[in-house]
Amino acid sequence: MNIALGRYIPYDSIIHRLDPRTKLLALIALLVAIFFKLSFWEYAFLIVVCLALILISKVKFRSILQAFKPMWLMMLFLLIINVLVIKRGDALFTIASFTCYSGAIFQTLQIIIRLALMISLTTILTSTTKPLDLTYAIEWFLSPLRVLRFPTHEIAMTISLALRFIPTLFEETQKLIKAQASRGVDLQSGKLKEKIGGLVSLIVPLFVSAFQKSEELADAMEARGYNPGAKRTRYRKLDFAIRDLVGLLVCALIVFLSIYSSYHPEIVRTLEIWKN
Amino acid sequence: MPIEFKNVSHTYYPGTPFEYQALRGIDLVIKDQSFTAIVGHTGSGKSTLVQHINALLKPDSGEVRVNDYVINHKSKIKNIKSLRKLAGMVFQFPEYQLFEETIFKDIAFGPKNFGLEGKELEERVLKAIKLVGLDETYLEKSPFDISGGQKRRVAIAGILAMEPEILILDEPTAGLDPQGAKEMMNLFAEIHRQGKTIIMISHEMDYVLEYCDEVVVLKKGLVAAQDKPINIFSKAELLKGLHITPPAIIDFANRLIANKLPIDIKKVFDIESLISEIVRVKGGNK
Amino acid sequence: MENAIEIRNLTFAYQAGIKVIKNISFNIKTGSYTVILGHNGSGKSTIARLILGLLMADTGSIFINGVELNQKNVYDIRKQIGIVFQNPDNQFIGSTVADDIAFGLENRCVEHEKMQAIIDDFAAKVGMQEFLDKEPSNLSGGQKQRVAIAGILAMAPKILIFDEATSMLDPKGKREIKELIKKTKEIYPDITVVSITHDIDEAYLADEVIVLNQGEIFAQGSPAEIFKEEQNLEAIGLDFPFIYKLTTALKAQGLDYSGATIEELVMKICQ
Repeated sequence: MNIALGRYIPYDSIIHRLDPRTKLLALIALLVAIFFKLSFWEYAFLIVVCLALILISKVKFRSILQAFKPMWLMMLFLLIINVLVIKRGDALFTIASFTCYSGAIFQTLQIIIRLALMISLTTILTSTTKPLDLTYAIEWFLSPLRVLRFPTHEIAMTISLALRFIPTLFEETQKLIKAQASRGVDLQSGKLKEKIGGLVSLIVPLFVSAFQKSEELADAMEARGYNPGAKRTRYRKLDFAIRDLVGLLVCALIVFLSIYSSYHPEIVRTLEIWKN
Repeated sequence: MPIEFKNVSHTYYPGTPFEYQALRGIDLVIKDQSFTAIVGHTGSGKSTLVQHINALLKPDSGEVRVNDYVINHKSKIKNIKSLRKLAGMVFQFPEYQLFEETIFKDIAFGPKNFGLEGKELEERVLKAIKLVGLDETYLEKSPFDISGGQKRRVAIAGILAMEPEILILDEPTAGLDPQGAKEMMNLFAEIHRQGKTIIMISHEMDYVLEYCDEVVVLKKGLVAAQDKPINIFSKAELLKGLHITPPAIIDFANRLIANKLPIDIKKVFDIESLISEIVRVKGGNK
Repeated sequence: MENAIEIRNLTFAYQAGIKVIKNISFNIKTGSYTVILGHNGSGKSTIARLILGLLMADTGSIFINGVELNQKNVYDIRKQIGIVFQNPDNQFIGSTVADDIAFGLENRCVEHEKMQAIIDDFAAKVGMQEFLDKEPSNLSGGQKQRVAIAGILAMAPKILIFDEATSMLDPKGKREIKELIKKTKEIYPDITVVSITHDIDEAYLADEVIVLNQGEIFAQGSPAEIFKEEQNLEAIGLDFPFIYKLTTALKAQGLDYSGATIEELVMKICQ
């Protein structure tokens, strides 16, 4: 259970209660805003927005930081590449005839901020929205494609079944690891050949079990009258409430402000004057 | 050497919303060469307990001693493989762990990992498959082409081929039909007679009464009782509190006693012994 | 219709040449509680899959309420039959208890507005009303089976099949499901219940018992007819019910209490 990113955490907050379509649309809009060429002030604004969202949604900062974990190496790598390639801005310092420019640092910082915002916002979405609700939202957005005979419903059903069985398969994997460890498999300190053998001893039974599960599941679905092509009704209906309208308006305002001000730097300048 | 648990606690997923304390300070000695049953309600910590014996899990606090091995929170066990060879673990529905192309290879997998090879390995495999009641014609078959009951036998043979001194069984008869279960239990009784320690998690109290010489009852991560099976099962009040249904025969005898029939519960272990007790008491009354 | 299920000369093989069902014929009466008993591998689960049309027989025919099952009417016939399978996990389709009960209703195109009331009603019937929002990983095996039963009862089947529905459960789960089967039979006396099992004590409660061995019918009749000395059940990997063994052993000692229930037996012995 250490898959931190994307794990739904059942707190009760206004963001949890929003329609998943609202949240998905808002996320996409904010991501678009982030990828405009923004200046320092707009980024600061978006970071504040993001922090506010984290607070409102009751998502733990720790779990957001955990989501950053796989990023550290990439960020370091980026910094090195940028320092080597970018020669804009002021020369900051020189080591053994190699000069590092401020442009490189700024460029890297900008990318890091963008990535961090992206990951934080996505984590907020996935921690406050049940995977299944997200699936419904995606299905809803794709539904116009049904006219083109695109099987949106079948795809959504497949995704929701996959989501349903992830915890089951995860549990089974853990049990298998223990069972094969009891038969002497050592995935940590064994020789390479032993490690490969050990992996096979996990993967084969997992596949066998997954196939058997899918067969039994198909039987159970058919027995309860499921017919892929046929019309069905829905128990879960997405519920677009007034709070969603407000949410979307706020989001539109944020996106508009950040993009507009990036084309009109005088706004920020006014702010600075006002601050002074 | 007995297996000793000293104040063992274990918590799953500490510090997360899924945190769950499965063991809350277990003190327990499992006698050498005993056939010990671990019983208790689902969620009482049975599986967590036995997984400490071959160090699949480590205690958060306290320690487990198995022969010369000490398993505690800090220790990195030097020779974990030989501990796992010493204490063979058969999980629930072990047929799901089969994976090799042939049954021979699957049974050989464990002993091979523990360094056995050649002629010796072959002999081990042959001995193990015969022990579980299959013949050598099975060895070249695929483990996926045999019946469910046979798969379970092959999986158990894979553990027996490691020749463990301690055999840990997690509900070995679950899902088997009465005859299959009976044969399985007779197999474990035979292994026990060869001088091995057997630790079995079970919900089948009839088998516990018939085969085991010691019962450990767990409740909410603690040892609630430990005694000979008949001593545990004859205490109707104790059983109720532990949510354990006694074997049908003992339940029946307990009901007779509750209705003031003075039979000696210690003499009841199967239908014949119950009947002769009834006849003795009723005959005496006449 | 007198017979809910009629099976005539049924034969089936998964692999050519290895027949799992060997020319079987039997009838199951409408509204009865029938137990199909057999050891593992006797072909009893294959029969359930054939009745549902999940498998198609090689030869022979199956009549459900007088209509012969074929490829064309299989979806219509299935509407009359509900089945609870063995593995609690692999038949839990929805992501929560409520969604799982709703699954069959969705397939039946029950209107969205009516669903919640039906779900609440059937969840309550199986005692799962407190768990509607729970996910399967937080439920015990017995609870998952109860949800499956609620989902199937909500579809108002005429025939209810339990395919080893208790064999993977702990004793508490087993007991709960057996009690629920009994309760279901009381609430819906018209439903035909078929329970496929190797639980001898359950067979003792049935109206009719069909014993299968190696794909053939070994015996058929009321429990009293099946559990008789002459029937060599041990030879085919089955056992006799505990109460039966007890009364037989008492009879040998000259104490004849045949036909008594456990409670009656206790009272009689203690007289």
